[in-house]
Formats: sequence, structure tokens, C-alpha cells
Amino acid sequence: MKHVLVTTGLEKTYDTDGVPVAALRGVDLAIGEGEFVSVMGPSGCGKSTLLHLLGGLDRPSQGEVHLDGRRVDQLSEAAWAILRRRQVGFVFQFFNLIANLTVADNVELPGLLAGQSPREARARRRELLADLGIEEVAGSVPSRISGGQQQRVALARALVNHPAVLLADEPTGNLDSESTREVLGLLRGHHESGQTIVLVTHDARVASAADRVIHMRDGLISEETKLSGDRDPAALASQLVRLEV
Amino acid sequence: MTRLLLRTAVANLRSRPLQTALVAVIITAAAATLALAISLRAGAADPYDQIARDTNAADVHVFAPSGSHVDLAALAHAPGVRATDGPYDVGGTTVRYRGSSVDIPLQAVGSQRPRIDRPRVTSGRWLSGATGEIVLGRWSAQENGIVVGDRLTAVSHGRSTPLTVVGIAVSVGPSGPWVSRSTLAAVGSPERDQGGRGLSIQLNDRGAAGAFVDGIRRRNDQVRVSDWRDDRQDVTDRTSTQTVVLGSASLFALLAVGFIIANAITGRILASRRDIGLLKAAGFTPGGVTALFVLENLILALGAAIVGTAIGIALSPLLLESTANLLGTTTPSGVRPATIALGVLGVAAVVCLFTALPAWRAGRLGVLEAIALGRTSISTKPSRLARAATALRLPPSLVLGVKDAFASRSRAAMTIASLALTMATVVFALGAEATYRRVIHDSALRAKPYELLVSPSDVSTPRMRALIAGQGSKIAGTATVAGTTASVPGHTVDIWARALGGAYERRPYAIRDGRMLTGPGEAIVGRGLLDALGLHVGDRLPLTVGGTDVNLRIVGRYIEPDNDGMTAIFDERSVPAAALARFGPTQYELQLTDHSQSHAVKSALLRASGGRLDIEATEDSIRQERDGLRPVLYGTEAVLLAIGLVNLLTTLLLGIRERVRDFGIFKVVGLTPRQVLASVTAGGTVLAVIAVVAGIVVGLPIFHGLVVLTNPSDGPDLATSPTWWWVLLMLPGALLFTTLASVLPARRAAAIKPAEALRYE
Repeated sequence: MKHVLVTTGLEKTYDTDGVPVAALRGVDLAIGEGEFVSVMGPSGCGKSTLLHLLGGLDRPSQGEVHLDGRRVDQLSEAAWAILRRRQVGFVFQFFNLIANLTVADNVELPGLLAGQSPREARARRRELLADLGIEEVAGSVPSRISGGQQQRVALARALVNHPAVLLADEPTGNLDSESTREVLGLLRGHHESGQTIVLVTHDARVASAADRVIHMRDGLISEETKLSGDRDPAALASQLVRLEV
Repeated sequence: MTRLLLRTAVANLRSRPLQTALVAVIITAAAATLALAISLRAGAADPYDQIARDTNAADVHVFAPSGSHVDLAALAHAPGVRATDGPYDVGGTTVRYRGSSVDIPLQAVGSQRPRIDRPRVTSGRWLSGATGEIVLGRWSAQENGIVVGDRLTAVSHGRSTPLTVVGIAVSVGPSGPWVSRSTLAAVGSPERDQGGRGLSIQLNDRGAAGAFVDGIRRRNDQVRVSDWRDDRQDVTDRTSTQTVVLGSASLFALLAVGFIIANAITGRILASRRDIGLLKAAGFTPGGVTALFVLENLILALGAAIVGTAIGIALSPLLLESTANLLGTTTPSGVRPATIALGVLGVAAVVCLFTALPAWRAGRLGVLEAIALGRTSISTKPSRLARAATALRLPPSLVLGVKDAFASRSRAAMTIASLALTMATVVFALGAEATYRRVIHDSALRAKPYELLVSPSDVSTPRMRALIAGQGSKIAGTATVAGTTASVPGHTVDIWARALGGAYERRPYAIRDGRMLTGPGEAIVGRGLLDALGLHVGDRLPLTVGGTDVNLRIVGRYIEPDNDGMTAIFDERSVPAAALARFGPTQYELQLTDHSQSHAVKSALLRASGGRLDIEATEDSIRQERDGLRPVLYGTEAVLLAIGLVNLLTTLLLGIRERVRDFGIFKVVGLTPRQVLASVTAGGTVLAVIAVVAGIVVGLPIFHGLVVLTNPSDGPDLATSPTWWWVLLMLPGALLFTTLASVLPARRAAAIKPAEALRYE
């Protein structure tokens, strides 16, 4: 299997008021093309930091990150920004839509930045919003739509440039159970059409949507679970919970 | 509770050091400007009163020409007289200086300055009593470019006496220049009828000056009497433009200060909505929140206002010295309790008001709403400009910047309003420049339709004509003018009358109604006269002038900036020769073929006459007035622009502070740091460009309105809008201004780390 993302010996140490705090202490990871990987672990285990380093939002203290076979951990901030436009899509727990832009503007923005013409960006946005069932909110600002709708908009924005990898940080952490189900369904749907996804969560039921679950503890990968294709969500979740404990 | 509020307020200030520092800088700058503006207004208000107070001015001046046998000393005992000074000797002489000459009366005084009309020495020193020293009046020194140390020559009956200018002094009324008695004796007996004796009188009630003067005139028609109202008119005429320009500049400054403080403080509150939500969650009531923010900003404002007022007072001599120099007043001291109190309390009041209103509104927001927003209320519709930017297919980063600029409509509106006010002051300064340029180019607008005004002194009329003829085709036409005061039977007003001779119709005065006079029996008048007498063009104007009555037809109204437009101009043949002889000395108005040659022709005439002519180039006096105003106008301008710059900087920084998360997202979706930089600069630029346009739209009518206020009769005809290329230049100027203001905020935005920003939940 071709690897889209590979990390070797990834470390991240924060300086908190002069005190070094290690968030990652040497993570070796390989994500295959089209794979759906969940990263699980308790709060403060370093899973969000790992996601940020994978997407170039932060720089590692040690180690390497390879994206599509290219070493990217030493790229400049600007080079990372350009790379993210086409290669990386992000979805966050708090949606992180731009508050004063409409839904349509939010979704079109990465396309326009990647060099699409306004017409192309508009067409792609229509297609995605229709796919996600939220075309009717295109003219609204984010604060006027529900959390589930906001997360679908965020998903549309992340997918607009067909990224090599979709990085999702607790994407259902702020949603009710109905919206959680919908968003997970959408993620699975995109995964089935070949989208590589790395999902960070502390919720075993959410993690169980993935093909593989990576367990983290104290900045290290403690366990990996391959999930079978034949899924009984409740059974998988209880298995994952047991692993966490 | 107070202790808790105080501790929380101080903690809030400390938690955001950059923002606190910037708001403090704005308040400091605003308080400094306020102190300057208050001092400027005090300094520019009624210069006559200031000079009169400084010099213990006389209420009435009496001058008895030689041979008039009037007992001036007896006037000291007249009813209503409180004090007198004099009589003192006055000798008329011709003084030559650098090739030009001027007839002036010399006032003989001792080594002590006179008690009444006590000249205030503005440079150099008072007379030592030695022979050969002279102290000149400030206006005549300024008009002739004479400074302390210059050497003049007094010429009387062919005898020359060297005089050294030891001082320049300000006074009101007809007193000065001053020499010692021994110097006057050395200069010799007066020529023509300029010699005589003078007396300065102070009355118990200066309101009775008119009746007192009438009484003297009735008893003796040989004396020349003037009172404080003439002096005030003289000072006001000389300083009216400056007073209004200074008054307007300071008014602009006051308005700008109010706006800028309001903008900075309101922005600070709006940026703290999230904190307000948290405070309410912790148990603060809306009133408590308001009290906390008022206290917090008041601590900041009081400190900054005290420092700013101190800076303003320290800087005030720079601005006030040139003001005082312009007006002839003493430099007002900035250290006045009123200035300090007004500066500090004014700033504190504005800060309280503009803190309480938004804090109260924000305090009434629901806790969750405030925390969720965490920022000012976001507009739910993209602005028209943002839609236009999208339609224009501008790069996405620029479109984002434009949209961001209007994310909070109220803040955008306040920023635009305060910047527009600053820009309006730029328009005002440009308009003043354009008006001066136009008047310098067309001096008819100053009731001086000629390039050179020649006072022949002791040069005979045939010789004068020969001198003018000697200039050949350089002189296109020559008119003569002689002036005197005149009265209108049945009215108490005095007007200034001018009798014209020669080719006056060649270069008409600036006529606004009717036409230029074409011969005897016709008059053109200023608007002040028409208004005062209720007359119109076409009416008859009866005048008592030069001791005779004449009846003229008003054929036109012309622009007359002096004497409040209480003027009448007519053909000299309208009055009998005997009456004309009682007018002042005849002067020659030379109209040049090429007005740029005025200095060349002036020099040629001075050379040809052996320096015996007194020649005034009309454009020089206007230039002098303009040059005197420039430091004050541009000084105020610079201060306002600097405050505007800090204001825009703070607005952008506050915007970035409350939108850290959005900038993080921009980077997540692929904006490079350079694009973030461009986005912030674009937002600032849009605000500044709108402010420039609004400033022009608002500034032009304000400028015209103020010129009309300066000169109600002719202001509308004089006010000249700035030339279009200057106005256009304001746009690149605004871009430069914005770029400067955007550098720091844009760099901060570009440096935001997305991983950190997104933790900012």
C-alpha cells in the first residue's frame, strides 16, 4: 500500500513558562492511501498535537513528516500554506468557519486560493453542498445554522480541493447524537470513495468508524487495533473502550 | 466591592499590555492635542483685547498737528478722564531702508516706556536714551522686513541721520515708532504736516469713548482723534483671517479628539465581549460590568490624560509662539489651571461616556451569547464593497480583507468617521492654500487690482509720472488713489472712502453685483456698507467727505476684505479739489503687463528714484499672511494625522485581537503569511479610502462655510476649492498612511500560529 503520511520519531515539546512539556515523545506512524485511521486517547495524550504536526499547523521539535513521499516538516510556513490548499483538509471540533463569511464563501475560499476561477469554485461548492444536503444554507452566515450543518459546511470546505488527506480533530465533539451519526456517515461515505482520513477522538464509538485505531498515551502510540470490515459498532466500541482502560 | 472592581480593572489592563499601551498612547496624544487646541483657542481669541491688556492701551488718542495751538494738557482734567500720558512730541520724517523709503511719524519718549500705550518689546530692547536708536512697531517692521540691528536713515530737509533698530515692539493705536527726545532733535524739524504733539487718554468708562471723541472734535477741528474702537478695527482687520483659521483648526482638533477617543475606547469594549460574558457568568450584574469597564478605562485615561496634557503644555510654545507672532500677542502660557482642568476632565468625561454606553449594551447580552460571540457583533450580510470586491475578481486575500474591514459595521463606521474628520482638516488646509494662491494671482480679490502700490513721499507728481513712464510697456496702466474717512448724513457709521484717478477702469475691482464705476458721480461699495445702511446697487449714497457733501450713485458692489466692507470707491472728480486736498497722500496703483515682474519693476523704480519711493508689492503682504499661517495650520495638521495614524493602528490591532481564531483558520485553509499581510492592509486601505472620499465630501462645505464665517460679505466669492490634482493626491497619501498604520497589525496577524489560534476557544 502506498503511504500518504509517514512520521518517524516525531517529537514535540512545548515551553510552558520556561518548563519544557513533552506533548509527543517519538511517534512513528504510516497512513496508507485511502485508509481511515482514528487516533484515540485521553485528554492531553498528544493526539491533537499529532494532527497539527501532520497538517503543518505546528512544527515538530524532532523527527520527520512525509506527505505523499515528500519530506514536509522543514517547509516554511508559506510553503505549508500552499501545500495545505491542495493536499490537506482540516475539520475541527468547533467547526472553525469564518464567522463573517457566508457558507458559500467559506466553502469557495480554499478553491479560490488554489487557483480555481470563481465559476469553478462556485460549481464545486454547489456540488459539495448538494452532496452534503445543505445547499439551502449557502447564503447564510455560520452563526445562523445548526451545529450539524456547520460541521457539514466545514467538511465541504475541507474536501473542496480533493485533498490527499482529511485531518479531523474531534469532528463530532460538539454535536448531538443525531448530527454525530450524520457526520460519521458522511466521513465513511467519502472514505469509501477513496478519501484518506485521520480522525482524532476520545469517543470509542466515533473511533470505531475507522479501519484502524491508534491508541495514544503520554505522547506515545501505546496500541494499534485493526478493525474488521464486518462491523458491529457496539461490540467494536466496547472493545476499544477496554483497550483505552 | 470597590476593591474587587479595582483589582479586576488593574488585572484586565495588565493582561493585554499592547492594547492597553496603544489606547494609552491615543488618549495621551488626544489629551496633548486637546491642551494645544484649548491654548490655541485662548491665544487666538480677540487679539485686540490681549494686546490692549498687555500694553495698558489708551482709550482715546489725540494728535494736535504743529501750529494747531491746542492745549492737550488741559484734556487731562476733562470729565470722564481717568489717566493720561503725554503730551509727547511727534516728528514726521522720511526713513530710508535698503533703497526704499517711508514717511513715518517718530514719537519721542524717554528711556522708560510710556505708562499708557506701553509698547511690549517683542524682540531686541527698549531705548537706552542714547541718540540714534529707534524701536519700530511690529506691523511696519514686518511689512518692510526690518529686524533688530538693521540700520535706517532718517532724512529731513536733506540731512541724513543714521538710526539703529534696537527693538521691535507691539502696541495698538497710532503710537510709535519710538525714539528718544535727543534722537528726534537730531533728526530735525518735521517735514510737511506730520509733526505735532500726541496724548494718550484712558477714560473711566471706555464705552463713553465715542461721545468723548465727538466732544473734542466739536471743540477743535484741527486735532486728529481716534479711539479704541478704531484700534480694535485695525487689529481685527490685520488678524481676522488668522483668528478664524486658528479657531477652525483648533475646533477641528477638538472634534477629532472626541471621535478618536470614542473610537478607541468603544473598540476596546467591543473587543472585550467575551470577557464580559465570563464576568457575568462569575456573578457580575450589567451595572457591575459597566462600573468595572468605566473604572478600568478611567484609570487608563486619567494617567494618560495627565501625561498628555503635560506634553501638550510643553509643546504649546512651539505652536503658540507662531500664533502669537502672527497676531502680535504675547505667547499665551499653556500652564493655565483652565487648560489643565479642561484637558484632564474633558478626556475623562469622553472616556466615561464612551465606555459606559457600549459596556452597558454589552453587559445586557446573554452570558452564552457573549461568550459564544467573543467579539463584536458580526454583520450577517457582506457589505456592498465586499460584494463589489468579489465581483471585481480581486485576489481572495484582498476580498477577505475588504470583508473583514466591515465585519463589525459599527466599528468600521466609527473608524471611517474619525479618519474622515482628519481628512477634512487636510481638505481645509488645501483649500486655504488654494484660496491664498488664487488671491495672490488675482489681487483684485483683495481689493488691490494692481501689482504695486507706490507712495511717492517727497517725490513730486511730475517726477513720479516721469518715473512711471520710464518703465515703458512694463506698466500697463496707472491709477491714483487717496483715502479718508467719510460719514453718511443721518447715520452714525464711519466709512472709508477712496478717490480714484487715472486709468482705474483698466483693471477693475472684483465686482460681484452691478458694474465698475466709469466716471464722476458713481461709486462702488463693499457689502458691509450696503448692509449697514440698507442700500442696494442702484441707490444713491450721500457722503460727507473731505468737509463737503457729495451724492453718488452706487453702481456696483466689489469684494472688500478690509474694514468690514464699510467702504466706498469713487472717481476723484466726484469731489471738489479743495475737499480732495484733505484726503490722505495720493498713492499710485501700478498695473503691470506681466504680474510676475512686480519685484523687477519695484527694484527698477527704487533705483530710478534713488530710493525715495515706498513701494508695496501686493502679493508680498498676502504671501506674508499665508506664510505666517502655515506653521500653525500644518502643525495642527501633523498632530491630527499622527493621532489618526495611531487610531487606525489601534482599530486594526483590536480587530486582529478579537479575530485571532479567524486568522488561524485563514492559514489552515491555505493563506500564506504574505496573503494575511495583504488581507489586513487591504482592510485598512478600504477604510482609509472611504474616509478620504468622505473627508473630501464633508471637508469642502466645511471649508467654504468657515471662509464665509471669516468674511461674511465676500467669503463665498473668495473660497477656492483645492485643485483636483491635490485632492487626487490624497488617495496615494491615504494609501501610504494606511500602509504605515497596517505594518504592525498585519505583521502580528501574519505571525499568528494556527495551532495556537485554534486553541483560542
